[in-house]
This record gives sequence, C-alpha cells and structure tokens, in this order.
Amino acid sequence: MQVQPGEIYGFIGPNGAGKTSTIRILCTLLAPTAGDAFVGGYSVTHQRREVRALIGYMPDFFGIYPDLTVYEYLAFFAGCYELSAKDKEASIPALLELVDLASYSDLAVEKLSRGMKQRLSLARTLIHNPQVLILDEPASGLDPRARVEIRELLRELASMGKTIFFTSHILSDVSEICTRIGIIDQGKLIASDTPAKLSQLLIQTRKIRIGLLNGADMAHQVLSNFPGVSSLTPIRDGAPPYEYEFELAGELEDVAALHRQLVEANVALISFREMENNLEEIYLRTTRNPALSTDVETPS
Amino acid sequence: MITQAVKRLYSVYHWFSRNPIIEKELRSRMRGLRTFILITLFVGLISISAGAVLSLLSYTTGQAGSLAIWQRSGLFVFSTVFLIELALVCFIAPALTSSAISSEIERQTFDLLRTTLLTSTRLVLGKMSSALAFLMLLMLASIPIYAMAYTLGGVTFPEILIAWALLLWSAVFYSTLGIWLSALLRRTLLATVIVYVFIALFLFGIPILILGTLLLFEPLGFNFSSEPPIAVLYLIYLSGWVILSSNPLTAAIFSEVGWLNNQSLILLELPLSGNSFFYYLSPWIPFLLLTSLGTFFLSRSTIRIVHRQDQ
Repeated sequence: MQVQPGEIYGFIGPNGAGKTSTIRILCTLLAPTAGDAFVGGYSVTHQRREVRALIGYMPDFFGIYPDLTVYEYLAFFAGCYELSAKDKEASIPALLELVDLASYSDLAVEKLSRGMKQRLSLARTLIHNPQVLILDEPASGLDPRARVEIRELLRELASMGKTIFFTSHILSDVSEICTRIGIIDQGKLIASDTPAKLSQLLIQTRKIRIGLLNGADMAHQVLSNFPGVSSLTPIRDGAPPYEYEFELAGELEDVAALHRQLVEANVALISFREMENNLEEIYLRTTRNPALSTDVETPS
Repeated sequence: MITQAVKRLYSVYHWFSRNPIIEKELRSRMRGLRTFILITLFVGLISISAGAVLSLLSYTTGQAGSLAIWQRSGLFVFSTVFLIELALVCFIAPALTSSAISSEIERQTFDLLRTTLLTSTRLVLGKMSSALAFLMLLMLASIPIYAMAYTLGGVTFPEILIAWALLLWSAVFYSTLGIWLSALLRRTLLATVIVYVFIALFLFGIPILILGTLLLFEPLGFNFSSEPPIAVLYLIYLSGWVILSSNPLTAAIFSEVGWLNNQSLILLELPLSGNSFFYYLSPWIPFLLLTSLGTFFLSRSTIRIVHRQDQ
C-alpha cells in the first residue's frame, strides 16, 4: 500500500480488521511483527524520531489534560515537539482560528463539548506543522454538524498540501472526501484505489432503475427475457408511476438495447437511469466475499 | 574553569526550563484549592505540634525564665518539627509520583506523548523535578518554625542543615521510588498501595524491629554490658550502623544522639573493650550516600522502563 503526498486516503474495514494496528505501526507506537513501513521515506522501526517529526497523530480517543486550558494544552504539545517560544506564539492562535476555537482559548479543556475536543485534538496534531496526518476515526461519536465541520477541516488541510490518512466507519464521509480508498479485512489489504475504479472493478453488474406510467406487465416481460438481467425488484408498483430496479450484467451497448426493447414494446418510460454504485455497496461486497476482493486487488 | 562551570550550569538550567512536562505539571498542581489546602494543613500540623511542645514544656517545668529550659525547648521543638515533617514528606513524596507515568497511561495521553519528540529521559526527569519542586515549596513553608527553634537555642546551624539534607534526600528517594513503581506497574492504585506499604515498613518497621530485638534479648539474659567477644561486638555495631543508616528516621535520631554524646556530626565512636573503639560515620552521611545511589539506580531503571514501553 502506498499513499502519495497530498492525498486523502480513507482506510476502511470491519471491526478487528487491522485498521488501528496499521495506524499504530505507522505512528511508531507498535512494532511490526514482520517487514517495515515508511513515512516520508523514513522507516517506522529504525527512524522513529524522524517519522514522529513528520506525522501528526490523532487517535480515536481524546487524550486530554483536564486541568489545562485550550491554549495551555496546545502550548504543552508545542513544547513536546520542541517548538521555540516564537513559533508557539505564532502557531497556536492560527491553529485555534483554523479549528474555530479561538474564542475558547482560556477555557478548561474538560469543559469543551465532544466536537470541540475533537477539533482541539486535530489542532494538536497540527501544532508542529506535520506533512502527514494520521487520524483514527476522526468523526467517531460526533453529531452531524460536528462531522461536517471535521470533514470540511480535512478538505481544507488537504488543500494546504497535507497528506491525510484516516480510518472511519462512516462510509459517506470517506466516499465524499477521499481521493483514494483502501479496504482491509482480517489484516489484509483487499482493495486500494480511487472510489470510481474500485466500483468499476469490484461491481461487475450495473444497477438500473426505470420509471413508467403504464405497461408494467410488458416491461416485466421484456426485462425477464432480456439476457443478463437479474434481481428485478419493484420499488413502487401499487399505482402509476411504477418504478423497478434491477441489475444488468453487460456493456453500455446492452443498456442501449434494453432501453430500445422497452420503447419498442410500448412501455411508457418516464425514466431510465443507471444508479451509481456507492462505497457502501463496494464495502459490503468486498468484505462479504474476500475471494472476489483478493482477485481484484489494485496495487497503486 | 569557572566559565565552563557556569556554561554547564546554564545548559542544565536551559534543559530543565525547556522541559514542557515540568511547566504542565506545576501549572496543573498549583491550580485550584487542592494545593492551597495541602500547604495549609502541612504548615498547620507542624505549627500546632511546635506550639504543643512549647506549651507542654512550659507547663511541666514552670521555669520559663531559665536559659537551659529555653535551649531544651528549642531542641524539642526542632526535633518534633523535623520528625513530623520527615514523616509527612516521606508520605507526600510518593503520592506525588506514584501516578506520574501510570496516570498518563490511564488517561490515554501516554501514546500522544510517545508520538512527539519528547524523550523518556525528559518525561521521567520532568515528572520527578515537578514533584520535587512542590516538596521544596512545602519545606520552604516550614522555615519560620525552624527559625523559631533556632532562636530559642539548643540547636546549631549545622544540625538544621543536616536535618534539611535528610528531608531533601528522603523526598528525592521516595519520589523516585514512587515514579519507578508507577512506570513498572502501570497502574496508579497498585503503585500507590505498594509504595505506602514499603514506606510504612521501612520508616517504622526498622525502628520497631530494633526496639523489638532489644526487648526480646533482654529477658533471655543477653546483657550488652557483659562484654561479648570483640569481633561479635564489632559485627553487632556494624550491622546496627548499616540498619540505622538506611532509614531517615533512625539516621536522624542516632546522628543527633551521636552529636549530643560525642559533639561531632561526622565521626563518632563507641567503646568496644578497654581502650579500643568502634569508629563510624554519623548515620546521616551513609544515609545520604545510600539514598543517592538508590535514587540514581531507580531513576535510571525508570527511564529504561519508559523507554522500553516505547519500543
């Protein structure tokens, strides 16, 4: 697995798949049982100090000192990264501004809400201006607004040229902001590519939804007889307009032929569209069927 | 030479002043009512003890004007204050450090620190220094009581200095013991319980053991004045000296006894037989040496344990 500079790489997989272990190895917190990993060209086993200077790590827990204020908390970690007093004074207010906590700088950390603590944690990971951000479940346990805020922050950081590697169980977040996705199951990377390529490679049928005003029986007959059509499911069939969804194993020419047959059969089509295969579908298919996913592993 | 020393001193100061752990620990500790209450109780307890001793002495003797009585009062106040302060320091010191490393693990901040550039040496020494700085504050707060004892007389300045050295070394040693157990056991509650059991046994167990041995041997007819062979006597004195020197309480008491009997704070003597004597260093000296060694090895071991946890 490789993550290129400037990428937002989403790392997903079921519980116990090895996401956090991978992150802990990359952050030099866990020694690999075999092999090595490199961050910015530095070995996580032999050049740990260099790796640590290069990464910002945000775990899936807060790790807060309740007695400190927001400003002091960041100043403490700035000290741990050996920042000079001048750099501290310059970076802390800017970071608080970035994570929208500037007006809370004198508030005790323990009094912050969960979303605020998460944003503070993100500010902490950025205190030494790292090139690589490694985030374990950054949006876990947050309400929808806080999730959107974190997502926007990650986008902003990526636009600043940071490489972001993060895990999440919230697949909509991953599909929305990631440039590439890795899927891990039982300690093995089973797929790694852009969402579009993964979809193309992993899902070999097209999901099509049609809407019609009348001729439901005829449509049903055409679809049942057309080669490659499966999983025909009525979405709405009580009263017009009717709606059906099905899978079609075939190329674009087959899609066009099916459309033509429906029209020639006098079915009053009001819509005919191919549905996008979302990340959830890809995830379910790969983690449900490891044999399939191993075959389509896409080294990048 | 002097420039070198000053430069070295400055680099040490710089090293400590740039340690973020010290600043954070002191900031957290001094915040809120907890510290204020602790200092008040500490000074209050010592003051009440000193006051009680003075009142008791003036009540029992009834010769408030006599110089000898004043001097004896000074010595009593000094001894009482010192012994209470020693016991307090020995119990407060590990309380400040027995959670030093384990609390970071329990609070889940240890991993965060490990991913920074903070070394295990800076972490451990930072924790120890902040605990010691706080203990020094407690000791400084008790200076006026010592000043009162010194003004009354009966106590010399070197005695006060030695008492302070014993307090300081005890604080350093027991703090180090606390942080060592905290790193080793990784659980605050367990580390605290074990360190207190150890200190209770060490601080009070040894004096009780000595007293018990004397009480046990006397009814059996073992008479120290019946002049046993010189080698046996020598061994008894030597082992007694080692045991007394390993405990701050007994080291302090027997150093003072040595001072009162021999008028020396360095080299003391005990009659063996005839004209031969058993010469020994006043127990406060080996105590300082032993605790210095103990502190060195325990702190080195703590740094290694923390470093190993970071592997």
